[in-house]
Amino acid sequence: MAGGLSAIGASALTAAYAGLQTTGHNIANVSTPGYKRQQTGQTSTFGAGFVGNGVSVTTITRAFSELATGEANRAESRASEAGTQAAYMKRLDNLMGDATTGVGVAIDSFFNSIQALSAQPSSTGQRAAFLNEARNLAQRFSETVGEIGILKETATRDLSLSLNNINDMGRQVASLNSNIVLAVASGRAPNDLMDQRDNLIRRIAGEVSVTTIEQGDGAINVLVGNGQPLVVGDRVSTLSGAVDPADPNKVALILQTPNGNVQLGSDGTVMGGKVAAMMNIHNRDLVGAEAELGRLAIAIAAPMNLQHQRGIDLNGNNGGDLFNIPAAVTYPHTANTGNAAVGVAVVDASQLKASDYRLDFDGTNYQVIRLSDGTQQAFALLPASVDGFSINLTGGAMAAGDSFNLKPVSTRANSIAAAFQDPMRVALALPVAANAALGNTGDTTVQSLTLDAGSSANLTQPVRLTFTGPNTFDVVGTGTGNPTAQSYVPGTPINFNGWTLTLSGTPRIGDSITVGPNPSLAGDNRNALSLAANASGRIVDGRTPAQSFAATLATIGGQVRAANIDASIQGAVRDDAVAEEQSFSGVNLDEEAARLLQYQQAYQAAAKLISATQTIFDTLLSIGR
Amino acid sequence: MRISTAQMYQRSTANILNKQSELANIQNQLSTGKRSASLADDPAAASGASVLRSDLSANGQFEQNRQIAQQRLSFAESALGTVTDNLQSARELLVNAGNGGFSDADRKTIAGQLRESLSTLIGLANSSDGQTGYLFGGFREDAPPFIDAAGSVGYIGDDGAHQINVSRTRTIDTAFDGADVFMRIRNGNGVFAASAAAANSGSGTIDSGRVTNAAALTGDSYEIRFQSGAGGTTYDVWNTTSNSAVSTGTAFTAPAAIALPGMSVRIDGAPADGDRFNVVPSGNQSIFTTLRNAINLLDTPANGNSASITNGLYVALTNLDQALTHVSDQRGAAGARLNELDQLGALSSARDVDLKGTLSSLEDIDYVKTISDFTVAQSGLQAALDSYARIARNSLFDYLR
Repeated sequence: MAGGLSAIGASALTAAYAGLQTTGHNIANVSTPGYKRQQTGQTSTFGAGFVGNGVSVTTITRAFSELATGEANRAESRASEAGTQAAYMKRLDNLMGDATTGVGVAIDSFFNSIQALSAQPSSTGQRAAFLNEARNLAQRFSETVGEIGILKETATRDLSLSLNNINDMGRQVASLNSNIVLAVASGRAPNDLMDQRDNLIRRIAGEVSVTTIEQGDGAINVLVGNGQPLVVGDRVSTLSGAVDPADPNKVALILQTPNGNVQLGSDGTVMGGKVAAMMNIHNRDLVGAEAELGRLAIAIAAPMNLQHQRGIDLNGNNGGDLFNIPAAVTYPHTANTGNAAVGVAVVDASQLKASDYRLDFDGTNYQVIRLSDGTQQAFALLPASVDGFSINLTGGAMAAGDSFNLKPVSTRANSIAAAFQDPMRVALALPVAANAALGNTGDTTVQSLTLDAGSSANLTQPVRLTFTGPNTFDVVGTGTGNPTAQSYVPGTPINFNGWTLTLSGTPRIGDSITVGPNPSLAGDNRNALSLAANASGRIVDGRTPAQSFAATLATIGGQVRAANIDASIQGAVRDDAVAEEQSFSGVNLDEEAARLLQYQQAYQAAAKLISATQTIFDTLLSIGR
Repeated sequence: MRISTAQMYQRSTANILNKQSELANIQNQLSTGKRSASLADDPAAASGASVLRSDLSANGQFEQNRQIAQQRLSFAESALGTVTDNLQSARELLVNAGNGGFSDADRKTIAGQLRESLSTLIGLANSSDGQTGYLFGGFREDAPPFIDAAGSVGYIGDDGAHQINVSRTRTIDTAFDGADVFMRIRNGNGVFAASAAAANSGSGTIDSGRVTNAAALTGDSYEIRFQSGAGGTTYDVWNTTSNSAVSTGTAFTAPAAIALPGMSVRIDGAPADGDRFNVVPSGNQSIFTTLRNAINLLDTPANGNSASITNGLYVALTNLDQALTHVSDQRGAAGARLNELDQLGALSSARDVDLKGTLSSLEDIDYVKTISDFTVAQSGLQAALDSYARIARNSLFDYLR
């Protein structure tokens, strides 16, 4: 009988000691990340008859809430995605937003210099200054795009670091899985291993969003993306980066599972976590910024080139290009089966949109998809024109299911450069001039002489308009067909040989106007004025260059702002989720202090019980004495 | 809710860090005076500021263009002013030359003075634009636009009008086409030119005439032919364009206002038999030709026929007056453009102030508000620190001794 009591005392002592140990373990791990407080589970032992048999420690459990932990994992993914996004966008913000050195200032200086030059067309200094500004503008474009390229590289590098982390941690989870399965099978509760595994999964969730499924044997399967297996029991898959088969400028993911490779594509959205942020930054935001800059570059450079080509320079030569613009590129999908080659050419730079396009062929129709907003247009034949550029089949034929990535603007700012540096070659004059004959007695004067679009072989052929009356004139000159008795109305344009002449005033019979080669190359600033007009022309999809750049700033600023707000919201959500989890699982020192006291007293009481057993036993012995 | 100890410390630290970063941010604004350091802080303001800066920068350029335009126009205006002075003194010389008491030699002296005037005038017409071109040469820069060759002045410039953008919407002509200024000047009274035939032997003089009825003008040339005989002096009026008589045998009594279709001329003195006077529609005559003709007139000995001098001087004075009016008009146009430039300049300065104000409201901080924000953030941080210190001090372990 005393033996029973002693056994109860011993069991109580063990239980109290286990409690003390658990409390100590909790106190010791108060700062261990991912540690979940543990509790000793104890139960009264059933004895023979009515008398109990003491206490036994059944298990030591961790305060683990699958709900809270799962929620915290998801919140971690989102917070980490938003935080990474915001951090990268901030760099893009710094890159684009600099008020004193950015592209915007270069555009202003460039157009100011052509304004200055138009006021002093024969000044070699102003000509050189203009060419300098042209070069500076081109450099600013290519440098800014270069900086974006560096950001893309950084994102790619960070992505591969992140993938390495995921793969490492995946392997660790798999190895923990097998240890835990063994421990569970042998009836033990591997609480601390499970904490470690939860901790790893939390860190994986930061990199990429995960779904976890607990198996009956204690192992946890970790799935990524749309349910692709990263860890199944003790087997792991490996995530790696690859070039997007549809567009070599984008990165895509591949998951190498024990059963073969799974293409996860270039859309990071399904991945979540840092991986999603870096893929989105790389494939969407930075590519988008490149498209914006490329569009702006070509929308400024193309009309300036066109206008410059219409003028003649100080040497009497036709103006060439002001800017060398890199050619637009297209990429066939790597899985294409046809042998088609597809090219794109800008038709009207002022209509270009800042986007890449995809050309699909279904066997009968060509589908052109604007990737920035998904707008689609179908064509039965190529060439086709979309958004200011044409799509041409330059060779071969497309097979059904083939597709091409078209970049009419994206890469155009990459290596844009000023075409020449010789001030003599700036073409500010027009090749033709109109003059009223000195002997004219009427007051007819030349209002304007402009060049029509396109080129004309007879542009500079001398043409004479002779008035045969106040309202009629005859025309003589190669290319005009020498028409007679043309009707004259002051202010009404007169078109011949690719030029348009507007006259005002009333002529007298015999008065004449001649149009012919312009001999005054130095002082003529007519083409300079036309070049300068592009500064306030709506040449970028309905906006002036300055407005367009400001709109780009607003777009990027808005994206950065949205990213910042999202980061702070998701950060707060994550903090709440972690607080919720911690509230359930975390160690509270005051609580542990109370427990310590409690188990200490239990221990003392149990010790007292054993000493009471001793006393009882002594009492029994003394009876027999 | 249970609070985990680690979480409590983490949260408090995070809060303190947040408050510190907020404070640093406001401090940054205070020290730079700028509201947003990045696009993200206020994308709309950053974008608006970009457009404003571009506007300001373009405005600055237009200011420079206005200065160039102003310089060119001032040059032209002052050159045209000198031309006017020159023509005025030539006019005085011509008036003097009409003095009945002057001998051929006196007139030769005046011709010499007029020759000086002419060469000064050619010099003025070839004025430089202060850079590489000429004020009155159109676009042509490689040679002076007016050349004096073989006794007549030719124009080799062109009709190019040097235009300068002086504001976003206004382009101003800064050049005066030399042909327009100096060459294409209506002779006579601007509608028709009256003159005496060179072979006249009588003392008849003709004035420059006037338009009496613009609607009746025909644009034809007329000739007034005098006959003088026993029956007195009569004249016929011939339309030489249609070669038909308008009137014949009208008796002449000096001075007579002779009516032609829509016009009237006054003939004085005593025209001799066979003398003729011509009335033709105005053509163009250059200032140089007008002066050259006057010089030739005064250089040629009158041989006692004062009427030819008088008639020649009438024509020269009429033409010179036309030239004076024409040049004054051109000068007025230059003045008007200069005036417009001043107004544009004033407008632009006002706009500059406007733009800078708007830019400042987008970019610059409101000091009162920001300092107050700073104080709030400061107290926030203070409170976070205080409360942290107090909470951290509370532990049950402290009571278990």
